[in-house]
Amino acid sequence: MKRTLPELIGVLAFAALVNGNPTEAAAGQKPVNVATSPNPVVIAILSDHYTDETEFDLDVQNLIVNGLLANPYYASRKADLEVVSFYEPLKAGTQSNYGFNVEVPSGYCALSWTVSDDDATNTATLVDVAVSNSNPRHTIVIGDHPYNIGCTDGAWTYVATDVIGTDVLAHELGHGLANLYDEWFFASNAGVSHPGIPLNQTRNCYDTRHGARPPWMPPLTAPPGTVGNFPGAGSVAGCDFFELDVVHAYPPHPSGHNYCLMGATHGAEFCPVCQFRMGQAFNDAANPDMENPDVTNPDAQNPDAENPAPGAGSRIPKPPTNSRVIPGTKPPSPPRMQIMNAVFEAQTPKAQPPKGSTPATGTTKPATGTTGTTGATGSILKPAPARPIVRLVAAFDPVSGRLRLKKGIPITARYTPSHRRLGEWAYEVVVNGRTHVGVIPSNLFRSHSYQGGVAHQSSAPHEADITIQIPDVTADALKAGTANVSISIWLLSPNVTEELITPAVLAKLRKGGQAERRGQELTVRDLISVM
Amino acid sequence: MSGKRFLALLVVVGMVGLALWLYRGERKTMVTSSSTKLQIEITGGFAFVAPTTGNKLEIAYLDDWVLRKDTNGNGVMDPTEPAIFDDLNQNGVQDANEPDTCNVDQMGTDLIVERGIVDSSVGKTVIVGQPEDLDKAVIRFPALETANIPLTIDRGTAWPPTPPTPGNPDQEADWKDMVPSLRSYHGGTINPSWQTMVNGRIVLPGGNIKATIPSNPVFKKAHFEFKDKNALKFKAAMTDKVIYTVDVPGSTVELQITGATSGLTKLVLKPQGNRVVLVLRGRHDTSIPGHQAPLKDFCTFYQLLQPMPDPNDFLTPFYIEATPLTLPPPGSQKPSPGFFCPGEWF
Repeated sequence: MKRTLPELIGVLAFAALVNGNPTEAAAGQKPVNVATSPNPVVIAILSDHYTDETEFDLDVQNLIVNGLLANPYYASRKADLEVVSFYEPLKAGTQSNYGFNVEVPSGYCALSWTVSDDDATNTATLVDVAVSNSNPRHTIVIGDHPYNIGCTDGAWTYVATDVIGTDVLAHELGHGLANLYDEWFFASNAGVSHPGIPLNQTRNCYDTRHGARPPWMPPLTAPPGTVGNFPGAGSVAGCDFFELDVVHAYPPHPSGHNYCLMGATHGAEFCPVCQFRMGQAFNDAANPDMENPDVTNPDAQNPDAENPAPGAGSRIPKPPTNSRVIPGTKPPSPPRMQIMNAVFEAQTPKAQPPKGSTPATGTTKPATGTTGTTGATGSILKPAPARPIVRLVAAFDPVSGRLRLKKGIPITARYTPSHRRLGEWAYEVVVNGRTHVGVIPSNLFRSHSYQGGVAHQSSAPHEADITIQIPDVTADALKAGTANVSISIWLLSPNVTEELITPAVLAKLRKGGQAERRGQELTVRDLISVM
Repeated sequence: MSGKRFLALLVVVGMVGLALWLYRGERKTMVTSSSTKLQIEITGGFAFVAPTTGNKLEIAYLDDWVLRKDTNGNGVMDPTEPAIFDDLNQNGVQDANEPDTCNVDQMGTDLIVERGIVDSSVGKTVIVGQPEDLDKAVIRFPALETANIPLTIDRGTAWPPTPPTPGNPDQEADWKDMVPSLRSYHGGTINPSWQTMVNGRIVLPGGNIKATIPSNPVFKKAHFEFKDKNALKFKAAMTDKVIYTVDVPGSTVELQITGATSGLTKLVLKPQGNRVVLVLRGRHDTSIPGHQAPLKDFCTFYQLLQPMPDPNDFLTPFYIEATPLTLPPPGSQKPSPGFFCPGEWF
């Protein structure tokens, strides 16, 4: 068999990035798409209700390889997508190994799942345990059911096999990767006002009660290629299931395009605003600056010291060569924020740190003179090394700020927290004195009741399961008492506009009174109790 | 060896040789008479045209249609003739809030290979799992044309169905009568020129066809209220999904396609596992219908009915959702926009 150099590099990258130790690949685990970029977005594909692995593999080929990855947008991001499949045969006497029920709808979805404090039944825990080996950003569960349904909740998307040949998966990953809103509304919500989208949660939907002009409309002052300058964008009624007071950017067919994949049309493409948000999601993963060192020690490798302060006015660089530029409207293409595409250089896998210890530096930037590729602003792209991580499944109550740990899963993988603010919540993890920060999307906590005969309404915020990564910690170190860990939750003020919440930014917000600690700080003892 | 023994040995050798030759012939016969299991899953608003005689079932996908007033009396709805509209205020003029009575913009039809290996295709590359646009296409299966396979249609002849909803919505057999038949309800026949009135069709000589559980489980326990302009006529469940199965003679399944704007003219599929599975799907761009919302596009089937009923008698189904959960689980569920468009038996 003849392999190209990129393929070989990809195989090596898969082995190094997905697990850090290929011999520990789980049973039924297979590479589906091997990324060639150094720090890809990892997607796990998990079987549900299958009894035949061959059938699952065929559906993965149809839905993922020939479907999702053939979609023009995702095809342009193929190098940045690490896709791994996990087959688990259906356990006898059950309908789902993870508590999914495609026969009973819930809220807005055509299926339901289990939420409990019991690890043996809680869907989020069961899914995470099955795929944690790959430390995925998002999990696609393929259900072997003859239905055409899809639903996304937090870190997973569920689709049944009859979505073949449709936009469903590409649409759902818009929710899953970039927290995009739906750009359609239920017929019963025609003429109904949206309950409200906070201004700093504007993504591809905008609440016009904050002012008539959405941020994507071409302003007179914004320079071309910046956030807020999307030629051809307008104010189209209806978003996030409601028709009134919320708008999206593009009509269905401007300049021969078929917008938007987040709408309800067929064979659609992402509009430029959604492309921009998706680009951010990919670039956040690729950005080596995501692992900030301790902000109290802003040495030369501190990315916050080197990079421009992130914010709503961040400049969008030239589009990557592998993205499609839509003629006519000249939208800002998926950006590479502060970095450029890198040439992958095969790295000698670094030796794993001793159990319970932390790496010498918390950054992926090599010291001067080591390998790596220099980007436009001096940032370096190289694969983040695999390291010990505890993946935590936890229930978070957005009213009290309380975090209840449910399950801790020790893994060895790349550390990939999300820093892009998606609402008002952030968490801070301090491991042996080093600070790590991640965000919690606010829209996880608002479900929608589906009430016959009346308009659909949003519920009050309530508890939901989230996943948190604790880097540089092993189960042994926790039990031996050699790891010192604390976890705290921070509520950000509504006037926070910083798009990336890094340790430095969170420290600044705390100092300025724009971040308030909520709930009780969790400690090693709490972690040990769920390991 | 004696002469008798030699003769006996010759006889034995001859018999073995004959047996082997016969077996070879039998194997050859088995190969030529082998068949491939074909399944077509049909989802969407298709017209199922059953033969009055013979075994030729046809499944048609419709074109755009606007119900117009035949002002010139030529018996045909010309594009220049005015659309018939819902004159809500009865002022004789179509006001802004008064929609056309039936104005359906068809988005098209896709054919997807779900299981199978593309052996060859002519006119266009076909990839398993990706939709092929069937605009203007007429599809035939040459191996079925000459096979003389009987056609089995697993449904009753009357509609509305009795009982009006499936006794057990999880039981496929209970859905067999849940594809509408306006022809049965109103009487009449399909327009003799129907083949020239539709966008395209699939010709299926022989095989088995039956309705099955809807493509979206939310419709399993829901039902529809069928109303004309004046009143509720009846309630019934509907399914948008039908399954066709047949054993196609030969070790491959060949599709001959004529007229397709995509350029595809021939597709040969080898079985995957032991079967070929195709999906025929009508595109739709509406979201899940809301409770009591009308399925307006259903009216398009009236274009094929002869005589066409008075528009005031057109049936429109209104979606009545099943009782929802009172306590949805936590999380910001993000459903995909769904679609629901049932077929019609002629």
